[in-house]
Amino acid sequence: MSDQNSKTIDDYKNAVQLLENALQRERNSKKLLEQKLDEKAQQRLDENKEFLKAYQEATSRQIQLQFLSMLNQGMISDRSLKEMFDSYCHNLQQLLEQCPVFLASLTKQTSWQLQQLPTPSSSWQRIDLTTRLEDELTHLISHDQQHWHRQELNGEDPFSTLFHNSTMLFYVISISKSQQRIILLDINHYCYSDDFKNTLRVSGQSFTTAINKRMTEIELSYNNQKLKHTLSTLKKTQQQLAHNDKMASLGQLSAGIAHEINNPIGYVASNLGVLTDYFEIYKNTLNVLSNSLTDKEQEIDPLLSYALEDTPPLIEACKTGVDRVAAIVNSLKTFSRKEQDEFGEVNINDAINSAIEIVWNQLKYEHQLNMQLTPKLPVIHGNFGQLQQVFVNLFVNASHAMSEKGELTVMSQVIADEIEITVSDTGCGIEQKNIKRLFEPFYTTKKENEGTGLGLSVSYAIIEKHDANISVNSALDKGTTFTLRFPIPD
Amino acid sequence: MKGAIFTGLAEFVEQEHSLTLWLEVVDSCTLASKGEYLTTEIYDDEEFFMLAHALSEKLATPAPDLYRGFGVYFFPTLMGIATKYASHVEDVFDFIIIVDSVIHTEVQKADPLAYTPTLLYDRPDDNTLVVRYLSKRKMCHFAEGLILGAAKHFNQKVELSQSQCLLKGDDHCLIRIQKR
Repeated sequence: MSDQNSKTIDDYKNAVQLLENALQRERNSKKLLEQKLDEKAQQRLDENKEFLKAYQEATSRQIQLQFLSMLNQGMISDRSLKEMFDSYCHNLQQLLEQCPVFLASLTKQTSWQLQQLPTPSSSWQRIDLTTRLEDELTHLISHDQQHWHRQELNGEDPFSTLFHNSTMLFYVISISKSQQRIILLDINHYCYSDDFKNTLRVSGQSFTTAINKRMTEIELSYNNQKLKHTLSTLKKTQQQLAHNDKMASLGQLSAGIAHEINNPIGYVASNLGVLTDYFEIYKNTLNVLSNSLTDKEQEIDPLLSYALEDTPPLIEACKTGVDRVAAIVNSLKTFSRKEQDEFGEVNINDAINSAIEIVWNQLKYEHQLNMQLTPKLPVIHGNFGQLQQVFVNLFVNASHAMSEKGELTVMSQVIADEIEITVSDTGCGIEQKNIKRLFEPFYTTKKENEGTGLGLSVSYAIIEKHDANISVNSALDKGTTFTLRFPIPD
Repeated sequence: MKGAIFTGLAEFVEQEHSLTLWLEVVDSCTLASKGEYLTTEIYDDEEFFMLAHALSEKLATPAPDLYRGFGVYFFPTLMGIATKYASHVEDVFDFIIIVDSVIHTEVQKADPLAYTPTLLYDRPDDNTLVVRYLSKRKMCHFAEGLILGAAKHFNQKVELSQSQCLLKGDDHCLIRIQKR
C-alpha cells in the first residue's frame, strides 16, 4: 500500500469518525428537542387533565348507564319472577361475552333445581343434579348477598364437569324465607375494568332490589285479594245473618199463626164431618116426611130440593178448603222447625231421582230433562223425605218457569269437601228485586191459587237443618240456577 | 402510533444488528414520514407494520419472534417512562398493571383522543396474572416481549401462554402469566 493510499484511508476514517460524532451530536440535540417537546406536551396534558378525566369518566359512566338502563327494562313491574330472571340472565350473558349461565333454585329449603342457558339463542335446559352438586350449591348459598363471588374450579370441583371454563362467578338472591336462587356464570376470564366490575355489582344489587320489590307487590296483591275475599265473606255473612234473623222472626210468626189456626181448623174440620152426618139424618128424615105429604104439600118450597142437592158438594168444598188450610199450617210447622224428623245416611242422587219420579208427569210432555248425576256420591247426614220435598219444589218451580220445550238440568258433583247440586232451567228467570225475597214465606210471583209462597221458604228451612246452603243465579228470559251445597260428613 | 415506538425500533435494529440494516429497511419502504421520526409525534400504524415486515424478511425471522425481541429490548425505555408514574414498583405484576395507564398518558400527550390499546387484568391468585389485550394493531407478541423484559428487569421468572389471540380471529388476546 502506498503512502498516498494510506493517507486516503486515514482521511476516510477521520471523515467517518467526524460524521459519527456529528450524527451523535444530532441525535443528542434531537433527544433534547424531543424532551422539551415532551415537557411541553406534558404541560398541555396536565392543563387538560381534568377535562380528559371527566371525558373518560363520562364515557365510562355512559356505558354503565346504558347497561343498567337495559337491565331496568327487564325489571318492569308487571313481569313475573321467571321473566325477570330470564331477562337478567340473558343481559348478563350479553355483557359477559355470551358466557353460559346457570340458574340454581332452592325451593322449600331442601329441593334444588339447576338450569342452564348455554348460549343467548338457546332456551333453558334442565340439568340432573348429583348429591355432590347439591352439597356444593348448599355451600354456595351460604355466601353473602349483594356481591358477586368468584371461585376458581379445579378438576375435583363438582362444577368442573358442567363448566367449560375454570372461573365461576356467582350471585345469591333470596326471594323469600323458603326460596333462594343462585346465578352462576361460566366465564373464561375476569379481566375487566373496575368500572365494569362495579357495574356488574350494581346490576346485581338493582336486580335483587327489583326482585324484593316484586315480591312485596305479590304479597300486597295476595293480601289485598285476601282482604277482598274476607270483605266479601263478611258481607255475605252479614246478609245471611240479616236473612236468618228475618227468617227466624218469620218462623216465630208462622209458628204462632199455625198454632192459632190449628185449633179452629181442627174443630171446623171435625164439625164439617159431623155436619155431613147430620145432613144425612136431615135428608133421610125429609125423605120419610115427603112420602107422607100430598102432591100439593110437596110443592111448598121448590128450593128445598135444590138445597138438598147443593149442600153435599158445598160441604165437600168446605172440607177441601179446610184440608188445604191444614196442609198450609203443616208446611208452616216445617218452616218454623217444629218437626223433629229423624236424620240418617242419605244418598242425594236417590232423593233427586225419587223427586223426579214425582214430577215426571208434569215434565215429560213439555220439557226435556238432562240428568248429570255423578255416580257413587258420598252419603250425607239428612232426612230423605225432606230432601225429596226440596227437590220436588225446585223441579215444580222450574217447570212452571219454563214455557214449552224448556230444559231442566240437574247436576250433582263433589267439590272439595262438599256435594254440589245444581238445578237449572231455561225459563223466564227471576227479577233481581224478587231474588232477595225468594225464600220468604208467602212470597210468590205466581198467580193466585197457583202457589202458596211457602215452597221455597220450607225448602230453605230444610236445607238449613241439613247444614247446607242454597244460592240462586238468574238471568231474565234465559233461566235460573239453584245451587245447593251439602257438607260431606267426616 | 407514538413516534417513540419507531425510534425505539430504529435503536433496536442498530444495536442488535446494524445502522445500515435500518437504513436499508427504511429505504426499502415507501413511508409518508420518509423514516424521519420524532418520539413525541404520532405516525401512521401502517408505517410500523411495513418496517417490521421488511425487517422480518431481511432477517428471515418470524414476525412473532421479531416483535417479542423488540418488546424485550424496548422494556427499559418503557420502564424509564413508567418510573415517572410509579417509582416504587418492584414486582413484574405490579409493573404490568400500571402499563395501561402509562401508555394512555404517553399517547394522550401527543393527541388526547388518539387510539390506545386496552389492557385489562385479572389476578386469580398471587402467582398468576391474566392480561386481556385489546388492540386493532394486534401487537400481542410485542406485549409478550415487554412482559418478558419486565420479568428480566425485576429478576423474576415467568411463563407465558395465550389461550385466545386476536391474530387467530378471537375478540381479544388472553395472556396468562405464571410466576415460577
